[in-house]
Amino acid sequence: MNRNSPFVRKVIYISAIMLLLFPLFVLGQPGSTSSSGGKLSRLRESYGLSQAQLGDIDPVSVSMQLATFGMRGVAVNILWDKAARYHKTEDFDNLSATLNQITKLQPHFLKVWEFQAHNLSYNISSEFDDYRQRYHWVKRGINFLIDGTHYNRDQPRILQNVGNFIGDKIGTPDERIQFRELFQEDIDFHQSLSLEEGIDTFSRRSLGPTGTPDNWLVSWQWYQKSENAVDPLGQRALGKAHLLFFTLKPKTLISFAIAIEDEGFLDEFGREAYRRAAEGWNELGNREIQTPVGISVRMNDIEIHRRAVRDYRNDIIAMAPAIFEEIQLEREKQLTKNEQEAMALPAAMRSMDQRRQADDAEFKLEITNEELIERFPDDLKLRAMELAAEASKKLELAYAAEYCRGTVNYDYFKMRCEVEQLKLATDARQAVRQADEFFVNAELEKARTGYERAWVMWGEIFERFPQLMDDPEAEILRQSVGNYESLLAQVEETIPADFKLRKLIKMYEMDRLPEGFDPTGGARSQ
Amino acid sequence: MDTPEAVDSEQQESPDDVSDQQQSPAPAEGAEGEVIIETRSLTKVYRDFWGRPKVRAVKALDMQVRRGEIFGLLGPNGSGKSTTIKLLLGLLFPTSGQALVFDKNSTDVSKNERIGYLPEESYLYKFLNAEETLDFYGRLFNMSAAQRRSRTQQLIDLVDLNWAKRRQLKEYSKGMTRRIGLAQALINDPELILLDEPTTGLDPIGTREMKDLIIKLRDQGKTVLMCSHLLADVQDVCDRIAILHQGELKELGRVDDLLSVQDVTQIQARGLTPEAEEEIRQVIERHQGELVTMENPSTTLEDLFLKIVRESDSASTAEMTEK
Amino acid sequence: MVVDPSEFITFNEWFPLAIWSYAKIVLLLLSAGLGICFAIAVVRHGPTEAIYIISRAVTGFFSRDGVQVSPRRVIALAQLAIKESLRRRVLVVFGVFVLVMLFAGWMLDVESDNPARLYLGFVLTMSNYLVLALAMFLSAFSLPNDIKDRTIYTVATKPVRPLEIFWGRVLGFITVGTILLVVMGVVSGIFVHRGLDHRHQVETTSADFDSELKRHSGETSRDAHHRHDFFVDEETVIGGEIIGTTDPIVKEHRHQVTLKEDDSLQIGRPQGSLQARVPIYGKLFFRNREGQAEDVGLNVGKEWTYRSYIEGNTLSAAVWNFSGVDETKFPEGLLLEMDIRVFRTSKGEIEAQIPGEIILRNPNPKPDADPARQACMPIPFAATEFAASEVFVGLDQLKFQDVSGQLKPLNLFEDLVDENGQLEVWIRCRERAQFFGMAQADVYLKAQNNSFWMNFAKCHLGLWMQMVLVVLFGVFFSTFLTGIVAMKATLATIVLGMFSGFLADVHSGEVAGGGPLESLFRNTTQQGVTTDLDVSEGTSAVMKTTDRVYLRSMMLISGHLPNYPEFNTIRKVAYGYDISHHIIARHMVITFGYFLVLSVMGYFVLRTREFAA
Repeated sequence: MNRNSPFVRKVIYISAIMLLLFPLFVLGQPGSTSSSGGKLSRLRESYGLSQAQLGDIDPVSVSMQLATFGMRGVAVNILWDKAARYHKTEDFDNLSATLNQITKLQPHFLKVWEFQAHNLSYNISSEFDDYRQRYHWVKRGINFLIDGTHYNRDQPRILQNVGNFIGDKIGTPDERIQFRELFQEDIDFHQSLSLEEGIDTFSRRSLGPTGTPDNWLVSWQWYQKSENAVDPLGQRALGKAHLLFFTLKPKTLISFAIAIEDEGFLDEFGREAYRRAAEGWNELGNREIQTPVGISVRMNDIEIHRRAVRDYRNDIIAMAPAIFEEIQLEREKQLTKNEQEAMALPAAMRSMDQRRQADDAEFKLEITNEELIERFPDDLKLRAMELAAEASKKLELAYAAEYCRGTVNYDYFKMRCEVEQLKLATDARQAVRQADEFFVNAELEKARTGYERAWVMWGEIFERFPQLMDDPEAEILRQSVGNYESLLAQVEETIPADFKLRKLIKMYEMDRLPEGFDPTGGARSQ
Repeated sequence: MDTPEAVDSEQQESPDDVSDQQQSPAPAEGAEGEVIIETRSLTKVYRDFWGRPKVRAVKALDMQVRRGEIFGLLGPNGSGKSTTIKLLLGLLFPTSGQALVFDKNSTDVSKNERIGYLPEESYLYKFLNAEETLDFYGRLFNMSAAQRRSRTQQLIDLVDLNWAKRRQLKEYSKGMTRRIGLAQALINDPELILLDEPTTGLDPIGTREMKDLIIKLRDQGKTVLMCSHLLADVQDVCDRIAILHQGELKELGRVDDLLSVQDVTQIQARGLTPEAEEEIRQVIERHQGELVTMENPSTTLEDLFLKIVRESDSASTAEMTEK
Repeated sequence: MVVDPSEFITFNEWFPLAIWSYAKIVLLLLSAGLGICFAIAVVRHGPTEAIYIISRAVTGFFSRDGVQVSPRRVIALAQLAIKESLRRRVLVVFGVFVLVMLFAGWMLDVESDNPARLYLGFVLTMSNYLVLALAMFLSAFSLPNDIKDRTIYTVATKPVRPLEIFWGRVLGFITVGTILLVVMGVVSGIFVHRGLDHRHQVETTSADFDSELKRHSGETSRDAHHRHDFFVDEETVIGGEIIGTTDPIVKEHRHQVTLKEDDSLQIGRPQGSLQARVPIYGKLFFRNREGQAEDVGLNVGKEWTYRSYIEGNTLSAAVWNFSGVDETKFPEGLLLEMDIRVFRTSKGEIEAQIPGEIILRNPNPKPDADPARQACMPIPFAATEFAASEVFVGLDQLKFQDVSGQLKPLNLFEDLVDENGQLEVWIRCRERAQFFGMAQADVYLKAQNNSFWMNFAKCHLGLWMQMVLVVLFGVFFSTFLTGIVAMKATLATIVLGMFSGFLADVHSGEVAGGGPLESLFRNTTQQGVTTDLDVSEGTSAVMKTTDRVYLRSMMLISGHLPNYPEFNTIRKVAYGYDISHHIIARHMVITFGYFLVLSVMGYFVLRTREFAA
């Protein structure tokens, strides 16, 4: 009896502990996919409280954080150092294992996920020579980032990053043809995205012309997801680069269209892709976007704002047209003789000097609303000033919209999407493409006729959309025009004087890379 | 010198004692008998961390213990008794002087073959049971398994712990621990047994049994060195004692010698008639003696002890005041 | 796998050098110990007495205490130590281990490309840490506790020699550690085996039969986060069954695919993820682009200089000199395994692998030999990275071109291997402006595969020796330090031993940022590690000198402590390479060396220690 009593006591203690723990277990049971978990977990869910709001609670992560006894910073530091060492010694398995440990300790630190995912997808993948292995590591970076989205639910930035990786990292490097193909064949990946991440990889919106999920379209889905995440949080969460944030989604549709046309789908598929891109781009134009100066504006509203500015102006002038004319006359008198001469000539005929003088003159002739109102009689002044204030507000909006348009090259892409929907455009591209093929295969005669047929079509396009010529779109044709020139040189001819694409030749000769949109997207980031 | 056969106090009626006195008459100081322990101006100075002398625990101790005697070291707490025993065992090293056991240096491990030691408290492994404890110490003496088994049983019987031999020592009472401690000290059937405060923590019966056992051991021809601050223990069982105070040897000699007051004769008798008493009184007067008392005697070792302590204390205070 | 250059030294080469430096250290320790003891004795007792004391102590050891050790006493003390360990809840450590194993699945990356490496690395490292921690705690506290509780009184007053006290403790704790290690080894073995085991089914939609080739092919189902392609040729009959395989290797393994009589396909258990290849390493040197011999090749700008590079389509080559090549080891031909890195200066053909060639050459041809027969015609291969790919060079594959330009067969052992069994293997890159990178261990001859589980056991032997060393140090420190201090001292030896390489790197500047003072300064003032220090020259000099002195002394100490990482052969097991007996023998000798020195030092400390003080 004596000997047994400690044992009996222990059993009693343990049962008591268990008994006391039971309610804790019932209440605190973490939720899982199959059950909503205990009372506490459900409460957290409904109120969106604590870590559960941020993302999944991972028992390993929590216990690892506890196990560091408040030395998390030190532990993390050691792990980062270890990760750097593994990277240096090309021990990538241990590296990725270490990264997992780091993120277990810092699960809600977005930069960690972003930095290390970039490390995996961009730096480590490029250590491998076999493109399949490279793709594999790109995917590991993506999966790593997706893991991060579980811990940081509804964080637009990280969701957008996933889209960016799936789109740009697969769709723009040198090995994009191979990568895109590998992605399209990666059924297991599609399945896991669809089943675990709720990405609709098998819907029509994600399928490319080959009937398999396309990386650009899947990346679009992620951008969509990131946009959805913005709403509950408000645009505050985006920091300052709102415009950039919202541009990525429509841009990825343009990248998709470019990619499939590159791959030869210069048909209904290509045009359809551009149609969708145009829609997306238009949607961007209709979205109210907060500019860095704090004004919200829709890019498509620029005309409305400009018109409003003009209308207010006219209203002000209409209040006292005599005063306006009076000032106008005063100003005209102030012009020098040279300036008057310059102004008298039509703009196209002015010399360099005259052009400058005309500019000066225009500046002098400009009558601001304020200058005008100053002369108004007092009974009109108040009303006029109200109108002027309205006008300057609208002007500010117009400027903001213009700033946004300029930043994302809005007009160009709008037009481009429009042009590329034309059969003429796909045919023109098809023609160039065929001619290029002939040229490469040294079938010079066929190449020449091909090119010449293409130039006709391109000439027509540039005629209808002259701005396209100024834009980097012409860049794509540059190589082909060069081919054509060397082809002519072989038969001792030169490009005819009336060549419609002469401007391109000039660019080709200057060998200058046009600034601006890079048709290959982010290949520079390699 | 006149050394009348002292009429020893209380405990003389035990029959063992008679045989003991026959077998090995308690050797007198400087008398014959093999020297088992010898210290030669043994000194131990405890030092502090920096090596500076802190406490002088034993000062130039000279003594000898001979085969077959029970030698008692007596002194108040902190007088150097335990230190002396530890020096003899080699648990401490002398600062100067020598401690010889069986003619060997006390630091020589091989002397331990013939020694049994019961420490002040029984420092034993609490997670072992009695059998395991004895078996373990038996193995340290390189005893064979069979030897160990028989010896273990024998000793457990001796200390009467048969009923508790399978229990871990942490469940033992103080008295039981003491007994098993003694058993381990005897595991090798030692010639010399050192007992550090053997009766502390024992109830009166336990104390009595311990004392009997010590005497029994002496009777088996073993030499016993024990230290105690309990005068009764020492007085009862020791043949010779050394009284230590503040590390110095104050007195050394046979217990009866030390306690006999030369010019005092104590008479004790039973069943005397008043007439007879009166007759004795007259006899004393006749011899020009003066009758001091005629009562039950008191423990005079206590007197002696206190006297020494007081003297030495006053001497040291005198020294201090001189300085 | 990365192999430390020191591992290429055979035991026979190593032993004389090691013995010599060991003798020097022992002599140094001996003279220092005696000197210090003598000095103390002189101060305490005067010179004459001191000589007597010292000589008695030394002769005492050799005549008595050193030689008269009783096994029975040692075992008794060892058993006591074991019982004490059990009382101190050693089992908790095992519990922790089992717990960690149970939850290991959570921490391990299930999608890893090399699950065997990861699993093995994890469980073995876990065993290693736990056993070392256990050894440290047990050994450091035992003796000090005995002294504190004074239980040592009853032991030290028995005829127990100091050496027996030392060895008893050591033996006891080693026994505990050994039992624990064995049990953990078994558990880890089961864990790894179960963790890697999985089955696939045939994905029915993918199954295909090519009636011309009589080949079944298809895809397996996705299990354990991967799937395989497979094929079965109806003509490949092994042991009465039509057997095919999955290809290529995915996650380090293949499955055998059997075509059953009812035309169903059965996919077997994973094979090849647990192996123990026995490599024969050669000596590597390089030929530069002019064809001259060099010790190292090119650096393509990587921070890590472990591998050197050769340029494609030039005379540069990487040359391995193998010895011990004979017919008994390679009766059918040479099996080369290689892991060649590729560095491209242009993307080139993205889907194509960079071609290379292997040439076998006789390093010391006989003077009368036909020059044309001294090297074989190049054998082409394509470089694969981050995995050992096999290239089998069959005996009948070796050809040379005679004067008429005809290809004639060569005999490997007569023409290409010299009299001492040496053979040169040249590797070259064929593509212009592309580079191959390699280190000595990247190309080797594979003689056979040893049993993986034997290798697993050998790895545990390495862990065991580390445990023994920690116990030795722990018990040694506990002979003169209190428990907690002894533990810290033991921990310090482990840390110093583990980081000796790092110390050396900091000292040499390989690891930037300077020593403790400088790096502390840089940290607090937020100065980058590569910038010049922003302080006056004097301060900087003082700081750097102090660091230098500190690092030097630390290196001196760590240089004499066991180099624990060297005993750690976990990587070999994880990467599937046999642990060579040269290495094991070396480790055993080192362990024994520490055992001797620490035993003697422990003896003298215990001998001169007052237990009751």
